[in-house]
Amino acid sequence: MASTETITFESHPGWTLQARFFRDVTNAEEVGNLIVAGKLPVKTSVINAKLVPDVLPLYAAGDKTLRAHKSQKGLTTRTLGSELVFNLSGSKHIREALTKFGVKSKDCTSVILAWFEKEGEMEEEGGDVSGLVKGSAGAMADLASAADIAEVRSHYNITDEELSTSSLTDCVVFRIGAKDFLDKKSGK
Amino acid sequence: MTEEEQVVGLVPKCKLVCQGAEGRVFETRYFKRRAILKQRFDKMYRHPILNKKLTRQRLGMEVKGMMKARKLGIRTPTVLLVDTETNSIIMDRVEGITVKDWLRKGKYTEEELGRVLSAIGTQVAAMHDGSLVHGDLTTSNIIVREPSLELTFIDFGLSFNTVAQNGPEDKGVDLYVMERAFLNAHADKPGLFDKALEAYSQKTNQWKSTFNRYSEVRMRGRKRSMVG
Repeated sequence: MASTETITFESHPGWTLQARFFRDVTNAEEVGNLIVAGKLPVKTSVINAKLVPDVLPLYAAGDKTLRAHKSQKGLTTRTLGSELVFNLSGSKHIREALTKFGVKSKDCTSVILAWFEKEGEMEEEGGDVSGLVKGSAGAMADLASAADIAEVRSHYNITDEELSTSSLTDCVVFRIGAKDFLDKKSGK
Repeated sequence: MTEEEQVVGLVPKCKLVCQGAEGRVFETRYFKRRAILKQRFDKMYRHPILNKKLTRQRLGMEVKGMMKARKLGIRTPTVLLVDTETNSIIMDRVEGITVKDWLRKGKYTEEELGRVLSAIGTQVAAMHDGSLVHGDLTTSNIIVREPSLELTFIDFGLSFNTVAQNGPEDKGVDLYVMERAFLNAHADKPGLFDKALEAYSQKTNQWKSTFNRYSEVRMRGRKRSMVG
């Protein structure tokens, strides 16, 4: 049985994000297709673990997602699940974010399965779809070893200078937390 | 009310650390880390629409300034979250003390003092060469970590990206603000700023134009004369 990490949010009492990590996944593309077809629960995300070096980015993106969920403006994407993936990317391009951080590609072999849960809310559908993922379960602590550092750096545009003063995780979290202001296309 | 814990920008357990003219700074926790929450508050005397625009703009200035500084190899706090709904920035808490306190405590050797001052000069020069102007270079806005003496620059709320034609003026003013800050906060220790400026001059590649303008700014003060 895979070990599930429960992330609780100080700012959103009652909400948790459950996360599981799988490596050597053989059917990522299939699961990705299910997501795209809208066949998976709306609170569930399937994330390409290659671009996530730590749990903290998940936490920051999750916090952002829940804040958007509670705000008047609402979510940018359609579901909580996709919003989490979108927020992880640190960019404003929804499609680009979903293709990059989603799993709908042949060469995606490590996957994070994450789903939001709200205390006291009976779910008509459980967010946990671990049964669908064909791979071996790992611990969330293994994220760092599964991440492709070169790709993380090129996606988030992290320079040597910045990395000399700060950890990779911090560089990534900075971009997730501040994404509303960093993307040049954002305008006013 | 200083010791009271309150909920700020959805984050519980915030302890007020200090209050400025534009915002309040709280200490809190964010996902297993010690964090600082900086919230800008509404100015009641401003028109609500203008207020919203200005607040958002300044939030952006701060975050963008930090990002730019990081890309130039300067340590800044890591931003963990920016919330435009509550106008707050959550960033990790930097360990260490302000250069101001460090200088006042006076527990350093001559060699350490020299290292810190020249590091200040070098890093400000790196910022300026990357056309980033900090806008509020005081000794309380630089944190020094012991024993490594690494510097972290904080409070980019007034920072901006200068364009080529205003470069010397903006940088000159930035240096002048720094000189005044050194003079006012550390009047008992003269010559500190000169050491930092010397390191600056060695690092920067725009020394001539910046220095000329800086001398001009010194003569007239920070504000440009509007006469004529």
